[in-house]
Amino acid sequence: MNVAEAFRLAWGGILANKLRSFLTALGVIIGVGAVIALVAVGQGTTQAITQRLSALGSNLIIVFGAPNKGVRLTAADAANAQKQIPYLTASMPVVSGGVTVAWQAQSYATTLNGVTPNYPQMRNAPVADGSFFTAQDVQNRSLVVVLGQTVVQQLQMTGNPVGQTVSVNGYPAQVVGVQAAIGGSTGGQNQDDIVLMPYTAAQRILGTAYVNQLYFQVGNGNDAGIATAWLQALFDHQFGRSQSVNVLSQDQLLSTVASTTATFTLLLGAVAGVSLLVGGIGIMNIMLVSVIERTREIGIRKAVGARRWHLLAQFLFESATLSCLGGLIGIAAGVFGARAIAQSGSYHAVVTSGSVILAFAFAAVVGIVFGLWPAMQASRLDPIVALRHE
Amino acid sequence: MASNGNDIVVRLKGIGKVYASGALQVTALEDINVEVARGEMVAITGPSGSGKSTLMNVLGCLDRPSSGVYELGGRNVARMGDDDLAAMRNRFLGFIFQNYNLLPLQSAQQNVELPLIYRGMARRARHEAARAALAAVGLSDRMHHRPAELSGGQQQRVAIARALAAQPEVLLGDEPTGNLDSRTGTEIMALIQRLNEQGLTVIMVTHDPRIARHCRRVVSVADGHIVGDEQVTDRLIAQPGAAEPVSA
Ligand SMILES: Nc1ncnc2c1ncn2[C@@H]1O[C@H](COP(=O)(O)OP(=O)(O)OP(=O)(O)O)[C@@H](O)[C@H]1O
Ligand SMILES: [Mg+2]
Repeated sequence: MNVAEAFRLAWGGILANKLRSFLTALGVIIGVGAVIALVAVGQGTTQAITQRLSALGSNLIIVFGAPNKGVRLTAADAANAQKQIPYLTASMPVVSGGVTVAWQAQSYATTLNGVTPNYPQMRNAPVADGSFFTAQDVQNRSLVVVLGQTVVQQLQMTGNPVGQTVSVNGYPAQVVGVQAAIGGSTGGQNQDDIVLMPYTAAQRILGTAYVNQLYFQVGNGNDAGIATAWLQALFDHQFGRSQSVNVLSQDQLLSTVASTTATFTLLLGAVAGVSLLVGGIGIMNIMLVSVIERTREIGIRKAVGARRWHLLAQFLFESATLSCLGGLIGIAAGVFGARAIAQSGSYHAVVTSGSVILAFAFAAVVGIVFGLWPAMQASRLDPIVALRHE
Repeated sequence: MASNGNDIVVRLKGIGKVYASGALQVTALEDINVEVARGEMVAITGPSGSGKSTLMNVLGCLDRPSSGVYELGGRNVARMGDDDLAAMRNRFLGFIFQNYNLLPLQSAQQNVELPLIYRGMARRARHEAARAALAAVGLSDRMHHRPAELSGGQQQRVAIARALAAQPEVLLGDEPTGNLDSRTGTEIMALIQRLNEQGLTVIMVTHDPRIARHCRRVVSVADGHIVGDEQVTDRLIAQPGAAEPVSA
């Protein structure tokens, strides 16, 4: 008896009781489907967050103050740091706060970011309509704004927003530009839900002389590490204490997020993996029942000369075929499920070949491991006892 | 029966079988000595519980004796392992049972092919052998029927075809006519007699003296011992299709 013969025998066993075979495989179908769909959600989320972070702009370092500890940053700190540290090629103070913008009868609560004309280049956020404000506007504390797409939509602005006047916390401000859409909202704030203004004017509206963050750019990504250390030292010296400010490079941000989302993905995969394991136990259960039910068949096969391994192979192939079939259907279900989740819009889902291969291999192993014990039971039956079985 | 050593297919020397059921020990067979030569047709008879089936299971390599030597085709099978016994059953023996023991979900042809699968015969050769065996028992027109679609006599003929397909040295039967009415039983005996005529060695258990008289030799068992072993003098020859056998 060769492998094809063993497979034919196993297939006959599966077809002999189609409904039960399907129900047996169902555990594996659900398990594999869940692994693929859930890991796809995990990976999709990771990918979306990573993309969003990359869109922040390359080689970016952000310095956060700690106002509750008396560490307050000013716009002068940004210029000073750039002068002192040779690796820094650009700098920008950012002051931010919640404001209400209004246009005609519409008003909308959003975030005001006071920045400099470096913003489009440093944040990788070009202007779609009109133009960004100028250094002159910063100097003059001009009340000019660049609007994010969400704000334009929320204010229901008709016609070209550029040139119109909106009110920001009651201050009239002229719209000079509209940002290109950045899109999405996964893993952070919506980058389109924003109003940009010269930081000098924003400070006036928000009633502060300080800024919240300083943005720096390094010419070469390899310099980010040393520039980060240098910035930390500079501000620690300035404020007279260690860890005065929080310095974050984009690399650090990415690796932090990556490890968090990897944990998330692993967790989802583990939960789904448990259901696959339960599916395997279901196979073992049914195969054990099947061996008992088919004791007489086993006896007949032995009586006409089947050896131990013939029966071992028959039953092992049967459970392995069931779990592999379940695995294949599960892959289809998982891919389909992931697509449905992605289309529902609230999650990203990306099916990777890695998770498909892993889930299928796991299913196959489950079928073999959990089929082994029942198959051994079958192969060990005494022909006399088996033949007498009713 | 007088015969030279080479013709002996089955030789039992001091065979004993003890069943241990719990603390109780049941001696089912004790010191059984029998020789069967090629071409013989032997009936084993005796009262219920005398050990006929136990002896048959030992002869059929389905069970191992507790003691003694069993030479089948010159090899001592009494101490063989499971897989070697399986190989002996597959190559040397054909077994027919009182309740036929066919696989219910498989066709007659598939049932007949069963021993050939385990022999490693290729598909096409298997189909051919099964077809020939079913033709030999007169079931060419029932090849694709399942056991449930066949009469008892037809099922037993499928079982005989299954035993024949493997071209065994010895055909063994434990009450092969036990579940059949006398007419059908006689038909089966006619078939077995014809096979024996063609040279097949037959050993079968029966408690029916009429069936035993179809054989050439009758071995009587009582209480686990052989109590009689004689040639049949008034042998019956079964006529296929005829209700009553005729005396030879
Ligand atoms: N598996 C077993 N365990 C214990 N005792 C057994 C077993 N099989 C048979 N026996 C005993 O061995 C003895 C012989 O049984 P066996 O089945 O060989 O009788 P038999 O001659 O075939 O009877 P029958 O004509 O009723 O079929 C009986 O006493 C029986 O109880
Ligand atoms: Mg019996």
